[in-house]
Amino acid sequence: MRTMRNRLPTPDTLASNADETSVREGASSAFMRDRNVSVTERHHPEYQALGVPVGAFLIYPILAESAIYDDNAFAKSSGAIGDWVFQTKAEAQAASNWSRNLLEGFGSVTTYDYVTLTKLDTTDYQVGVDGRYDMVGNSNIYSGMEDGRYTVPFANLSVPRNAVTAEQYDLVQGDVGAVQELNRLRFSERFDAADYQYRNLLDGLNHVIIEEAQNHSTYAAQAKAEYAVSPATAVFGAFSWNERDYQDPGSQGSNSSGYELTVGASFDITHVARGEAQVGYLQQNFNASPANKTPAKTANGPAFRGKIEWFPTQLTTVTLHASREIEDWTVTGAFGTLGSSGGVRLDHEILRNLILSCNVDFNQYQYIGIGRADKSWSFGARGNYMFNRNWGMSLSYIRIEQVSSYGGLDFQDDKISIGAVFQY
Amino acid sequence: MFKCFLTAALALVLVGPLGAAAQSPSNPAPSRSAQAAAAEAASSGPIFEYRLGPGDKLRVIVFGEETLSGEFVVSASGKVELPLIGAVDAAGLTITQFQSSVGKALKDGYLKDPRVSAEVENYRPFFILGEVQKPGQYPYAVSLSVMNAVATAQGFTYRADTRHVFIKHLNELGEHKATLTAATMVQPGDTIRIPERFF
Repeated sequence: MRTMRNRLPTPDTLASNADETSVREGASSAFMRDRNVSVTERHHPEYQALGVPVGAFLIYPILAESAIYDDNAFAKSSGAIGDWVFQTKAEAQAASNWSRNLLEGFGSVTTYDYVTLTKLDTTDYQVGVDGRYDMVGNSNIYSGMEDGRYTVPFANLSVPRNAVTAEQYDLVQGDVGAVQELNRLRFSERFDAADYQYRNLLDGLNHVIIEEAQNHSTYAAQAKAEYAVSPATAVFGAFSWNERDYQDPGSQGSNSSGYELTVGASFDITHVARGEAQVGYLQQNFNASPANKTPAKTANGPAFRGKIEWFPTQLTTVTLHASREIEDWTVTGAFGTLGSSGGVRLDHEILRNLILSCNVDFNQYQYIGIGRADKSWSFGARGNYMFNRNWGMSLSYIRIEQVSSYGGLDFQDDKISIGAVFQY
Repeated sequence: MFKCFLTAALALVLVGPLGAAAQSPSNPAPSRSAQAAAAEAASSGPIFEYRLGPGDKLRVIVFGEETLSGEFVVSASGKVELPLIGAVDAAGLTITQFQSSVGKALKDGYLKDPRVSAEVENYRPFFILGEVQKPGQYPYAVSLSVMNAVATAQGFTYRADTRHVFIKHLNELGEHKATLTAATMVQPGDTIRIPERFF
């Protein structure tokens, strides 16, 4: 569920998603994790947008422009082609200022304009609404809907290697959930549905690459029960079920259903660390593909997910994250993708209006049914600077190194970008 | 019976002077309160002697002379305007020195044996700014330390450098950097700046 975060905005990430069990402002809860404030979530009123009051809502308009140099626009293992791309994003966020309940809306349009590789030019859009109805105490029900068009970077190996135009997909997704909190117990339930429709591409000979095989719908249901051992710690058990239905199962993705059962804990130790971690078991059953004459497959094994923030000082936050789960995309011929990832990120507040960040991430993808596995490392560094509450700029560098068990798919990609943002 | 009485009287006569000799002015046995004061002085650090300055509000009492007593403010020129004797220098003097100065002035042609007492009623305020929650001007209190002053300003911000402090005294042109400890003291009229840290 999307929630407004008034923090130093960056030209390409101007909103953040809050935990779906966030409580209304001012409420007390045994599950609140607000004893520590991370660098990126710390409020700086002198550098925050004021918004435009419209009745009981505040509207936040944002305009961001970035110049990015990508030295390997097609993520090729050899013969890399680089180019400049100008990313322009116009966005508006609206949030209610009621004492109870919450209604938010958002909309954005992003254009990517390449200087030389103009066939890669795309336009993305996103529009959505989220709502939360507060009930007794910290119990609530919430729902949200979103419609958008997204560009898939070539660094994602689901994009055909012979494409010369950018891959895009249309996504319509919705969610509905509820939270019940009774003293030390909290129960959460949630249902998500998403529909992915991929747009066709062109290859170097202007032939159409049909991407309908990737079209699919995903349904997921989650339930979680938590017990607050203390105001700073809680233990929980969670169960989730999912189903994926492909329009053309077998060529790139197969119909499947599965579940994940985990136990975990969340904690918030003042001036030390906070986080949540869960471990358990996952199983995903992929249907047989009569068209390809492939038998049913099962992917199973340990499941884990966690995010821990360590606060060595109040000016520095170190974030560790790890996960192992079934991905929403896959490559040609595979039933699905089992992804394992982990990483560490460091954020440091040099000045109130200058934040420096760096990160190292690792991803490993196992493609079910074809025996292929890819590994990727990414290294990033960025700085965000706000001149005042309206103007800011950023500078970033990212390097991606991908190694595949299939030949000819390794690549290295470096991107450097400089951007400016205006907000009100 | 008479012999016993005579012996006891003789003993009293002899012991009394001997006891007094043991407690002669050259070797007095200290009283309990004096012992405690001596121990406290030995264990405490240097005694901070406050010196008067412009803005201090004084209460001056001349015993038996109500018209010469009252509350007076040290002016910007460092003097105190007192009845009968006029302007008396105060800036830079300790309260004891000021008392003596006023007594001498009164004795010079006005009073035979003036008994003067003075105390500071309101000290000059101190100023604190920088990385504290509530910068501003606050009233000085005796033996105020920088840590006390920060607490008065509702504590450090999360960006405060808690190891150093910049202090400018009233009679100085610029601030100087000092290590911030529990014994770093504040004087009335000081401007204290808590610097920002970057790591």
